[in-house]
Amino acid sequence: MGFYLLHIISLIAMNLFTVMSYNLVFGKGKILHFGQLAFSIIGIYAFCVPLVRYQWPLWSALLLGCLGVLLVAAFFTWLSLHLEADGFGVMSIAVHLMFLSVVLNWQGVTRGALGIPGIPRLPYMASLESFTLVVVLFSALWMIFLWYVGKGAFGRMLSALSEGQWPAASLGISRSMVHFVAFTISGFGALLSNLTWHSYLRLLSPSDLQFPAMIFYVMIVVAGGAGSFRGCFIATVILVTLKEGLRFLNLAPNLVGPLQLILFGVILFTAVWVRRETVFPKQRVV
Amino acid sequence: MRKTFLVSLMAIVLTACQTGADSTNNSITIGYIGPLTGDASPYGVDTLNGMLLKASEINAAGGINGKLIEIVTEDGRCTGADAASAAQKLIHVDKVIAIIGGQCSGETLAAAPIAEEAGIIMISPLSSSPDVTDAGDFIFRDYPSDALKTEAMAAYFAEKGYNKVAVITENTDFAVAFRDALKKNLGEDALVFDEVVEPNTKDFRSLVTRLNDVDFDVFFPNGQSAATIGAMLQQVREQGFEQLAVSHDVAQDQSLLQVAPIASEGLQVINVPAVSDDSEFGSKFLEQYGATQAAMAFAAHAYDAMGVLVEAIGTVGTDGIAIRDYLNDLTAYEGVVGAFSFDANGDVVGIPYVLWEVQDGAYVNLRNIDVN
Repeated sequence: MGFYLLHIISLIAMNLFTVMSYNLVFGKGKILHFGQLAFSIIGIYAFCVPLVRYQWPLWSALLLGCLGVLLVAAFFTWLSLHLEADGFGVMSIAVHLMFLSVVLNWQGVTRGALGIPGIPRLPYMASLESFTLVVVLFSALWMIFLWYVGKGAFGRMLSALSEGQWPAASLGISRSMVHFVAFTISGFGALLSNLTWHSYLRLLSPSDLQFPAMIFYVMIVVAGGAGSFRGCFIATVILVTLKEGLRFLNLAPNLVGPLQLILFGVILFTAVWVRRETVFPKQRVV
Repeated sequence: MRKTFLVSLMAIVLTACQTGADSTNNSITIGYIGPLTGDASPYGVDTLNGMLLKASEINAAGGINGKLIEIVTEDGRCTGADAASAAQKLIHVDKVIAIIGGQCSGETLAAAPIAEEAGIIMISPLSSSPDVTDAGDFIFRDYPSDALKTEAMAAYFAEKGYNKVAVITENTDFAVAFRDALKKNLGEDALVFDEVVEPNTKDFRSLVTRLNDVDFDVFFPNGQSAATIGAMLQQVREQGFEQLAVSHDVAQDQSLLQVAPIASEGLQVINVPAVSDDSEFGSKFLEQYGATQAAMAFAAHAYDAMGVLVEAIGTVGTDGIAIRDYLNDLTAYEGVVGAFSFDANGDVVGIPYVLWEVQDGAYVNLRNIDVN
């Protein structure tokens, strides 16, 4: 049981990187952004392809992954400044699917649907115990960083922008700067999550980067209360644990898969229904 | 409302804290990982039932050295992420002594490092990706690698003098791996038409029109499902191409004959030997579980994977290293799919390839194809 608990703790920690970062953009910033996996795809492929297929040194590959995330953040910033909120929401999905299509079809480099096996474990993360320790430590540090970002001047600028673009501009808040920083943080959260996850699996499979994974992130943020740091943390812990916990229900072999999926669907629906009020921004009343 | 929701969540969390079954003095626990939901679930259901059939027979005969077999089933959902979680639970909570699975190659590749680290044997009855060959010392499969199957296909093409192959590939891990392995065996120049389409595409008409500009000897519809291969065949024949069509495992499916009854006439398939519904195994399976969802051969491979595992446990006990060594030294296991053993990489040896042809709406066994 001990190892399995470590596995669940690792899963929670790895999900927290991306969920808490995404909460900054979608929850606190109220930016209708559904392209979080675009960061994951570019970041992790820019890291894994040179590392595994061309034997680049780890730090060079990591640098390329970071560069990829920065470019995607700049692209999303540009799009968010040129599109209406709902238009950006649709476009962010299109960007994700476009990048997915590229990695699925650029087979000479990415191996397409085959994915990339043989990804090495990151330094100091060889065993499950050390992996869990390191990933929890980094996850905690990342959340402390996000906490300060959210509570500090940047968080206030993001909140002000989410409530009104022109009043925020009159206060001297640069929308382009705030969006770029928010997307960059969100992107690095996705990169951290994917670096650890695919190194943990030792396999990069594009099937893990399909749109259903994005739906799970959105639901966690909504269930936790969009913008709520503590709520999203608790929602991640509970929903990831429940997803795994359903494996323990004593079901007949022919019912195991379908019933687990149905039950988890009901849990997600209920959680989102309870929190439905928090999805869209409310104007503050003075 | 919120209190009710939280109480429900707590109940499930508490349920999750219960430990599963594990191998005790009176039983031996074996795990199963495969896709039980989603598009690939027909494969998962058939292999699970094949495994359960063998376990029920062993238990009815008194178990393994007096110990009954318990099966713990996990849904791998054909993804690496779910298969990894499933493997962690089976190994560290249920304390299985071996796993039959995964079925999709992505499942096997993601679960393999976990099994390898724990010294737990995994036998896949269905994963055919060449990448599985290097998955580890504890990873075996009784289904042949695509690398070998494409050798059989290349040998057949060479024998017939087919130098120019037109292939349309569905962009899935299985079909792409098969195309890559075939290209390696035939040489880059042999694929005179080599197009990849998105998964589940059913309209190939504009693509097929381009075949008019290509001189080819044989058409290879390389899809992940019978429905896709059927659509490819239908549209190629509609545009007047009469070249021979040759395909792989997926094309040996009764539903293909219903999807494209006329276009599939003359289609040749290179596959492992079929297991008929009328065989002894087929009859037992049908009586217990009814018709298969994908193919009887898949169930038979799972039945044999369980069989060879049980034989190993019965001979050397439940230690992972001892089972691994037994499987490596095995000369031949007489299964319902034929007599087989494993090579140094855990890949199956001894499963022949058969050339089938659709004649009058049925698959007819033409002959075996030897592969060195």
